[in-house]
Amino acid sequence: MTAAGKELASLIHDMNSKCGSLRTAITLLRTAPPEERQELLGLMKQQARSIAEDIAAFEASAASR
Amino acid sequence: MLGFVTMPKLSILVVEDDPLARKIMESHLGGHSVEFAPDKRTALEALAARSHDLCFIDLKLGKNDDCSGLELIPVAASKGSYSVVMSGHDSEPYIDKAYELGCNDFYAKGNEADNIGRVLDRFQRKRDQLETGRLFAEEFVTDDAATRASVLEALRYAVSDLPILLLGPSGTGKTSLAQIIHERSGRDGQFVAINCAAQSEDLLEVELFGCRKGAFTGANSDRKGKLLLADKGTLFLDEVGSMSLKMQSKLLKAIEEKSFYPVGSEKPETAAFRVVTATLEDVQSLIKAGKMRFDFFQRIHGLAVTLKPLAQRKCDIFPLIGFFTRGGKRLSFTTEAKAEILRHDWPGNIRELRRFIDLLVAGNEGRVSFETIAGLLKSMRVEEGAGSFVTDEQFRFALGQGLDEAVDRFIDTIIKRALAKNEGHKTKTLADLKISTRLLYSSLKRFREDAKPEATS
Repeated sequence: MTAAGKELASLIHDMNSKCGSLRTAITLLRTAPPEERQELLGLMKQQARSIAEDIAAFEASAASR
Repeated sequence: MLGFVTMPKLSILVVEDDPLARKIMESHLGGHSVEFAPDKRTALEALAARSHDLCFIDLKLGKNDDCSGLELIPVAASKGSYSVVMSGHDSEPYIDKAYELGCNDFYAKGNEADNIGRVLDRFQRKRDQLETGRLFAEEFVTDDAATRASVLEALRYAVSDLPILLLGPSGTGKTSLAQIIHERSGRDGQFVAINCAAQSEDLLEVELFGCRKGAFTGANSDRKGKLLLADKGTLFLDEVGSMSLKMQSKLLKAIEEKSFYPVGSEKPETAAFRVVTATLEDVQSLIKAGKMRFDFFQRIHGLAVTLKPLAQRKCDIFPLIGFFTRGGKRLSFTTEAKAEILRHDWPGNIRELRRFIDLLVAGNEGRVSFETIAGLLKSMRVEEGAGSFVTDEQFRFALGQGLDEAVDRFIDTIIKRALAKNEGHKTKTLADLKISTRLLYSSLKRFREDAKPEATS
């Protein structure tokens, strides 16, 4: 597999994992008590930022090749 | 918090670098003792320091990580942990690699609610299978399906507070089963046993409730009773059928209120114990005869488990012989010797078989013949009868219930056994025992036995 291919595979894997976590976190929001809901929302924001960073890093890497 | 609190509390390690994923796992594993490791180094430290029932392992641990989670699988497996790989990598090469390295389970991330539940169920089923095999090979040796079912039924409730009543003749393993129940109860306290038939009523009261110094002549110091010793543990009352009504009443109060007064004390003690009882007697007959309080019976009888006599589970004889001789001198038996062992009824059940094997091993080598077996069984019968027609158990029963009751019990047991041997035929039973019809029917009335209709008059 080429370096670009490996990077893409890695991005796909990370997106799958992180988006999967977000989906699961949403289902927990419904029943979580207030303190836990706050914690979940904080972690979800962090995850969304991480996804955006991963995509930006991939775009930057693709542009530099 | 979500959790699977119906199963025993498990020790779980979760190796996951994603904080949100860790939070999700925490929510779905509520009720268990969960440790988190965000990277491979922390995970290896945790695996080295402690044992875990399960390890959930994310394959990719961190940005640019090359599935270092795979390296943790054999480490977890070597520690006896049930390893579960959870990954966004659900392609076949990764799944194959994970199983090759020894992982027990694998799921693709994204549906934790269902996946974690299924994983825990599979883990528990596998553990139950291994446990059952070990249980019946090493702790309560039996190949008999009905006995296994009875034992497993009792152990289903081991972790609860449900009082358990163990029924069955002497020497069938009631005390062993009570101990196993306690060991699996998860209770922090001790297993405290007392034979209720072995004491007079006054002594039994002191044994159970303890006493204060000076409470009676001979009480030279304060003494803790069995109830206090069993605090947070299990109190096993053997031969509970021989307990007097007065003692039943006192004990009932102590069980219900978890509080009691030692003999001679005005200050109550408290103790939270789980009650397991045992008796060889017919409890319904005791209640009917007014020898056992119905409220006491209800309090000790959350679940009743009956252990069959060895004569009704002869498939256990040779597995038990193998168990008793494990690690020591092993004997082999001729076909005729085996047949003679199986022919014997073993009225003393497992206790008698154990004694028989101890004597056999001590006095014999190599291949054991029919003559050796027959001779030893005969000498054991003579020895048990020598100097006394009455066993210790019968004597204790008479002390506890009175001689009339003991004689009735003796008569009923002999008649019941003769009827079983004669397949319910009363005429043959009358002839064998040389008794009157009146005696037979009064015994049957006591036991409400349904003998087979007579084939011939």
